[in-house]
Amino acid sequence: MDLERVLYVEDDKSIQAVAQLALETVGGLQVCICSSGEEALDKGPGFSPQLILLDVMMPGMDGPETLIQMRQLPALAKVPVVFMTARTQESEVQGYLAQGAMEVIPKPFDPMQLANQVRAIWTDHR
Amino acid sequence: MAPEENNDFSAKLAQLRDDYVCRVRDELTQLVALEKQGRGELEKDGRLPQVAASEMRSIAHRLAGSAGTFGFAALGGRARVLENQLDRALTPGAKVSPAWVAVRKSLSTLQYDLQRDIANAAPASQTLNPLQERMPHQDSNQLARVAVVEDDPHVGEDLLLTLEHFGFAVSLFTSPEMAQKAILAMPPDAIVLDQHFALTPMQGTEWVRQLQQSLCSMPPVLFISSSRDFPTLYEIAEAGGRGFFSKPVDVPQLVSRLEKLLPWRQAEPYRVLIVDDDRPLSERFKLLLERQGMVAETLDQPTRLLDELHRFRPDLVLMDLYLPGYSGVTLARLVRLQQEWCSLPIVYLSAETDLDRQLEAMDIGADDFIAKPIADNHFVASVGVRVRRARELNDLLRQDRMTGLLNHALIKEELGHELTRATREKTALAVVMLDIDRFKGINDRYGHATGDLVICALANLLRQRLRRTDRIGRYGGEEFMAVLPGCGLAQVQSVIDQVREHFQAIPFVSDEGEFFVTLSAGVAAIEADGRGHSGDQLLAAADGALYQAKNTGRNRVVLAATLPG
Repeated sequence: MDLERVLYVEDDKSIQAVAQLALETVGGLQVCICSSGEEALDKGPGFSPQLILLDVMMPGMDGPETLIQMRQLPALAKVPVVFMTARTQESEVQGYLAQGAMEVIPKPFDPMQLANQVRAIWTDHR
Repeated sequence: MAPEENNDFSAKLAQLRDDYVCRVRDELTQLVALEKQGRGELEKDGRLPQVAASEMRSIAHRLAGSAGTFGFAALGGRARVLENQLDRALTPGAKVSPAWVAVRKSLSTLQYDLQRDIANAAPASQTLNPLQERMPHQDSNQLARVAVVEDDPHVGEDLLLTLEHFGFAVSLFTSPEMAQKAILAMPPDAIVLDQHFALTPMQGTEWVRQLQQSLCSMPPVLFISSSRDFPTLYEIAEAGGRGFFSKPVDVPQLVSRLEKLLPWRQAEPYRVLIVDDDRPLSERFKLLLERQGMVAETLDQPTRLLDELHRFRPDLVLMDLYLPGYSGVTLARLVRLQQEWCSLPIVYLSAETDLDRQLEAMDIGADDFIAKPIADNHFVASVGVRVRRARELNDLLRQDRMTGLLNHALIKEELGHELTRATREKTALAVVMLDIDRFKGINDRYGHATGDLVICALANLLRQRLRRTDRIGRYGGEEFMAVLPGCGLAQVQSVIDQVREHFQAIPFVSDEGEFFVTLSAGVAAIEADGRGHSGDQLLAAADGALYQAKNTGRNRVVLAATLPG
């Protein structure tokens, strides 16, 4: 199955806007954008995403905490999650993977490449 | 994407970038206010201002993760440095006062870089236009981004700090796998790589081969290693390595190599003057050249040609062969009458196909022909190759051979040009004289080769730390001079003081072990409303301030008293 629906959780409005453009216009994906972990837990199940992109550092509920909560929701429990982060030291990355992230996309990302990166992760995952 | 979608996409991206610039300005104002508040608290009770520091860290973190996406990679790199410094300051047991000083300095560098990046940035539609092929020098307004891939965190951290002193935007990766991902997502300008990873059996050369398979244009890779046996070197050469450095790494040497590998970064955009009476055509040419990151101006009145040459100082002139009332051939001869413009390349734009006529034109002063009509991509390529060659030749004539900076005569000449411009445009202008402290002792003790390396290190540091609109020259032996347009005394003091601090932190390697070097500097400036000073007066004032810096203990920056208006 091709990748079509992506849930994107990011508190930074500028990054939200450029990622939406990158994923929808460049990548032709359907994207649901949420500004917080809480909003993602609320809207996520209705959207039934195939893949979730999750910012790590967010005020309030951060990425790892959101992931734990998502795993409690039947509709999101099995959806692969990719962390997006500017902190990519080896120990940090190992930490994210241990927390259940399937992959890590480093920030900053190139808006022309983001959709390709996400699709490549999806293909590897399949 | 269909072409119209693509245009729409570019326009949206451009808008987002403009919005982002506004946001970054606001965030920087916030950072400055928080730093001030934090400093006040620290001075009062000697404890780290936790709230201000945490808030600053989260702003720096957001900037570090986002600036590159909007085309401000260097700014992102600087924000990362600030974030790391705040991290260190927030670590329990950290020495609070020095940590805060580091934060403060890092913040002022960030401010300086932001101004530069935004002022120098190409129009948004240009930077983010996905349709357009980017010429390398389009990025030249940005600091060079270097990825360090080193799984020994101590070695990596040392490299990172010293490269940062030189003004590179450095990302350190302790995981080779993560480095590959990050580099694929946003390739840096150069990679510094350990050949022998401690934690994985994979070697650096193998890592490079993997990366090469997925990357269409591989940045230059410099290898570091603790062994320098023949098989290792052969392997590195085979993988296309552009440099090799044994551990412990002599970073100033490594920086010299980086500078040579990234020469375009220092370059100002090429300047082209188009003299043609066909306005729509010359505007079109101007646009085509600007899209390639060049600066182009048009002129349809030949009578203003000499004034324009003085004002705009082009690298190359494109001239229509037939202008109403004037002959391009005679205009070229007129330009060549002036000593100053003897070697300025002139290229005719002409529908002329008659060979004799072309030869006559060449004999008199034009260097080349571009025949009209011409396809856009041919035009751009033809001008590109000619202007690059012209600049390279000119640079060779103007450079100090050891450092690649302007030589003594030319930096003084540049001061004259900038002074004229500052007076005309009523802007500030600063002149700095810098001198390496106790240089003779370095030569005597460590040898001339090491002394030369110290001189080159300062040259590289100045190139990295100053804006590319600033002029830098080697004034003599270990003495340097810089001309900073648009800068008043206070601003220059902070920039040069940072240069001084970074310079004293650079470890030089000798047979006797590591050693450190300092510099002294004198600064003089005319403020925006000042007028009527000669270049010699400014120079003398800066020189006097330098003398005072030397006499009051060295390793300091002294400001000359404001010149009377």
